[in-house]
Amino acid sequence: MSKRLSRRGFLKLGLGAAAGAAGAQLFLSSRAGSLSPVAQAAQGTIIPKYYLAGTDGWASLPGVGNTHFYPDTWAPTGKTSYMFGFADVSAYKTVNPPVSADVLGFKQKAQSCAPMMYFDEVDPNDPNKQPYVVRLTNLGLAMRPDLVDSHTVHWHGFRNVIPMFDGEPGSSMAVPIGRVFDYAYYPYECGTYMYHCHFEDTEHVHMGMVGPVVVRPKQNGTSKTYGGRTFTKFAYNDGDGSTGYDREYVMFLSEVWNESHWDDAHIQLPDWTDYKADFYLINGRVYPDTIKENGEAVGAPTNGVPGDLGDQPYSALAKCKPGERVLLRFVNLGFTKASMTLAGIRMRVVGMDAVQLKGKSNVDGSYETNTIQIGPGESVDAIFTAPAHSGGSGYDSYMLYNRNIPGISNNGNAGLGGQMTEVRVYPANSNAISATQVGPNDLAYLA
Amino acid sequence: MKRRLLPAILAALAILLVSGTQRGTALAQALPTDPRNGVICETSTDGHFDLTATIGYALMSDGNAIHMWGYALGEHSDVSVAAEHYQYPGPILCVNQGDTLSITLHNLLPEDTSLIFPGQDNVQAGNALSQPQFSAGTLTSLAPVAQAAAIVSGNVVSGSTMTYSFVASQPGTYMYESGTNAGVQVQMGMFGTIIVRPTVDANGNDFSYHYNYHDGNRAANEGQVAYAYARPDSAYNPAHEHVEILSEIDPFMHQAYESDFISWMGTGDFTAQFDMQNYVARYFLINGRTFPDTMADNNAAWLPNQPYSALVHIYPYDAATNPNPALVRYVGAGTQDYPFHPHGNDSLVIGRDGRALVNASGADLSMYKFSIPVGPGQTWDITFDWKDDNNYSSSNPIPVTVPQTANLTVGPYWSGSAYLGSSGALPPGGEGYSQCGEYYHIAHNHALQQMTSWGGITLSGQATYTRIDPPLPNNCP
Repeated sequence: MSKRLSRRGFLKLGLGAAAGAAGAQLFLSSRAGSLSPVAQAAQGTIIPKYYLAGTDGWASLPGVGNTHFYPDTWAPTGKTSYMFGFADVSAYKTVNPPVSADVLGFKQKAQSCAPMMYFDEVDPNDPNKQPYVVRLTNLGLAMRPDLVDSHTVHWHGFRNVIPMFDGEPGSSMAVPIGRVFDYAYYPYECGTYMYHCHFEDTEHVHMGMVGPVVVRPKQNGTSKTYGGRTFTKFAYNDGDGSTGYDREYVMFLSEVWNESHWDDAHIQLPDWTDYKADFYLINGRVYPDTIKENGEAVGAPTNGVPGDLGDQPYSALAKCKPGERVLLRFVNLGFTKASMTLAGIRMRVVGMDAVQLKGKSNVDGSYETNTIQIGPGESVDAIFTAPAHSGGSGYDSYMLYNRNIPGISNNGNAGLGGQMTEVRVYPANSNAISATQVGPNDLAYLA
Repeated sequence: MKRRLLPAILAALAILLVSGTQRGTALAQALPTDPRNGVICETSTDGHFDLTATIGYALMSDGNAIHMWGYALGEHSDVSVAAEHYQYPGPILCVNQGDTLSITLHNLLPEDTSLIFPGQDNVQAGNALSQPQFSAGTLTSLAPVAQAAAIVSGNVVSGSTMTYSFVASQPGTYMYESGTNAGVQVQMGMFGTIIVRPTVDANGNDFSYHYNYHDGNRAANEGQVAYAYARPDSAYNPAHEHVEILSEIDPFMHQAYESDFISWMGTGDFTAQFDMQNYVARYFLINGRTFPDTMADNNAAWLPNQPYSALVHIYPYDAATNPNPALVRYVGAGTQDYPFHPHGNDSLVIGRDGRALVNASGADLSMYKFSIPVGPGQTWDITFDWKDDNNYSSSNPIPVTVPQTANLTVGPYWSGSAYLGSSGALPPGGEGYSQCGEYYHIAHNHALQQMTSWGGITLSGQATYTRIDPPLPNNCP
C-alpha cells in the first residue's frame, strides 16, 4: 500500500478536521442523550417510540432428551437454550443519559421474540409529519465477554430507505457496546413487516434478534362496511373495507438449531451449511407454550423442570367470536419455508410482503386457502371469518400449525410441539374475552 | 481439505498453463466491449451458437478451486483450450422474439450430454422433435445427446455433436441446461440463461431492443429505454439490465468428479464414485461467484472462468431525468428456493418463467415484493429503482443525532455521510470503499445459512450489493 496521501485522503482529512470542530461545538449544545461529542445534533428533543437493547439471554424450549447441544447444561433453571435478542427498554426512552443503570439491568434479559412494534402510516404530504424514532443500545453479551459484537435494527421491507437507517452494517454503521443510535422512520406504506439485527446477520438473526413490525393504514378510524359488517380497523387502505377486521394476531415464525445456540454459549462456531432446525417457534415460544397467555410465567417442563417463560412474553393464541373477522399477520424469519395450515377454517390471503394483493391496476388478487406457504423474509396477511359456535359455554378449538411436519415437533421427538397454536372461537355471549380487542395480540401496549 | 485438493489443482493448472497465451488474447478481446456491470449478452447474426461441454475451474472466495463441468462458448477440440474458455454459469445467449435459436453442442466430457430448453415450444434436435431417449425401455436422457468424448493415446478426443433449435416465440428469461444425467450434470455447472427480447406486439407496436452502448462512458448510456415484454409497462433502462443466476455447489461431489476425471484421462474408463444421496450444498453463488467476488466487475481478471458481475449499479429514480428502472432477471439454477432479499426498496415482479404477470385479459398483475423466492428452474423478472423518499441532504438533515464515528462501528461501504453524493469523516484504518458518496444496499438470500460458505465462513455466500450513484452529472469514476 502506498503511504502517500491521495487527494481523496487529503480531502477526507480536511473533512474530518471540519467535523471534529463541529463536534466540539455540538458538545456544548443539545445532544438528545447521545454520547458526546456528536457528529451531528438533532434539533429539539427526540422521544423514541421504542427503545431496544441488544443483549443475550436464555429461553425455555420444552422438549425431551439430553443431547450434547440440548438442553444447554449452562442454562439457568427453567431455561434450555442460549439466545441473543432485544430487550424492551422503552420504559426508559426519555431518561438521560439513555444507558442508565436501569437499562444496564437488562443485560442477559433478551426477549424472545423481540418486542412487537406498531406504527401508524405517515402521510408523505403532511407538512407537520413527524418521524418515528427507534432507539438502540447494546448491552453486550453476559455469557460472552470475549465477543464485542455490535448490533443494528434492520427494518426488513422498508421502502426507499437511506443506508443510515437500514441497519445493514456494511453499508452504514452498527452500535458498539454501551453506545446509542437512533433510527428515524417515516412509514409511508402500511402492512406487515419484520425487523432484525443485521450485524453478523446469519448468527444474530438465528440467535433470536428478530421481531415483527406493523404499519397501520391511514384508513384506520374511518368506517367502512363490507359484507354487511362495519369496520374501523383495516390491514390496508383498501378503499372498500375488504381488509377490515375485528381482531388481529401476529404469527411470528422463527427457528432454533440447537448446535449453533450451544456453540455460541460455549465459545464454539458452527458450520452454518450444516443448518437444520430443531425447534420451530411462533412469537418466540413452541407449542404448548404458544397457547399460554401473554406474560404467563411458567411453561411446559423440560426433563421434569417447569419452563421459565419470563423472557418469552408473547402468546400465539388467537381468540374470537362467531362472525368476527380475524387478521393473522404471518412473518417468517426462520431459514426454512413454513406451511401454516388452519384446519377447519379457510383464510383469505389479502396481502403479501406489506402489499395488498390487488396489483397496480386494482385487480383483486386475494384468494382463499387453508395453508399459507411463507418463506424466509416474507410476510402474509390473511383474514378469516370465525365460524358459528357449536354450543355450550366453552370455546371451539381450531389448530393452526406448520404442515412441514418437522415444524411441529420439539427437538425431533414424538408428540406435538413447535409451530402450532390454536384459534379459539367463544360463544357470542361469552364474557371470557373482551368485546373488543385491547390491542393487537391482546396486548394493550400495542393499542 | 485444501491439502487433499492440491494435487488435483496442480493437475488442473498444468492443463490451464498450456494455453496461457490464448487466454490473454481472449480476455484482451473481450474486455473493451463489455460493460463493467450488468448483463453480457452473447449474440449471433444468424441465431446460431456453438457450445462445447467441458471441464473448468471456479474459484470460491475462501480460496478453494472447484472442478466444474459446463460450457465454453464456441467449438473447441482441445480440452485445455476448452477449459480456458469454460465459464460458470454458461454463456447468456440473447436473441429476439421470432428468431430461430440454434445451438450445436460439442462434447469433451467423459459422459454423454444434451441440452433441454424448459419454456420453449417445438424444440428440434438433430432435425427432429427433441424427445426423451430410451434404451431397451429405460430412460437414458431427456433429449438426444452429444456422445461422450474418448481417450485416445492419452488425449481427449471429442465425442459426437448434436444441434438443437427452436423459434424463440415469447420474450422473457429462460434457462438451458443438461438433460442427460441431469441430477449430476446440472449440479456440476451445466446450465445457462437465454434472454428473448420482444419485437412487435399483436397490434404492431414496436418494443424491439435498440440499446446504443458506449464503452467506458456510463453517462452516455443513460436515457435509453428497452422492454422486457411486448408491453409498455415492462419498460426499463437498458444500461441497468442484470442477470442474477442463483446456484450452489457441494465441494465433495465436485472433488469426487475431479478425481474420476483424472482417472479417466489416465485409463480411458470413467466411473462416477459420488453417491448423490450424500449431496449437501456448501457454497451458494450468484452468477457463479461467492461474496465478495459477486461485487467485482464483469470479466474480473482474477476470476477468468466466472465472468459475470452481480453488482446492480443504478442512479436514483427521478421522474424527469431517470424514469426507467433497472431490470433484474433472477434465475434459479439450484436445488431449492432461494428467498432473495434486495434491501433498499421493494422489487416489482413483472414476469415469471418467461411470461409477463398479466391475467387472461392482459390486465397487469405485477406485484411489489421484498422477498423474491426464486425456486429451482424458475426465472423472475423484476424491475427495481430507488429514491430517497425524504430527500435528505445537508440542508434537509436527518432528524436524529448522529454520534461521532468513535462511538459507532463503521462499515466498509459507508461514505461517512448520511447524504447521497457526500462523504465525511471515517475512522482511521477503515476500508473506505465509497468513491463518490454513493450509497450501497445489500441484496442477499434470506435463508441466511446460505449467505455463508463451507466451514462456517459468514458473509461469503449468496450476497451482493446494489450500488446507487449520485444523480448525473457526478464525479464518480
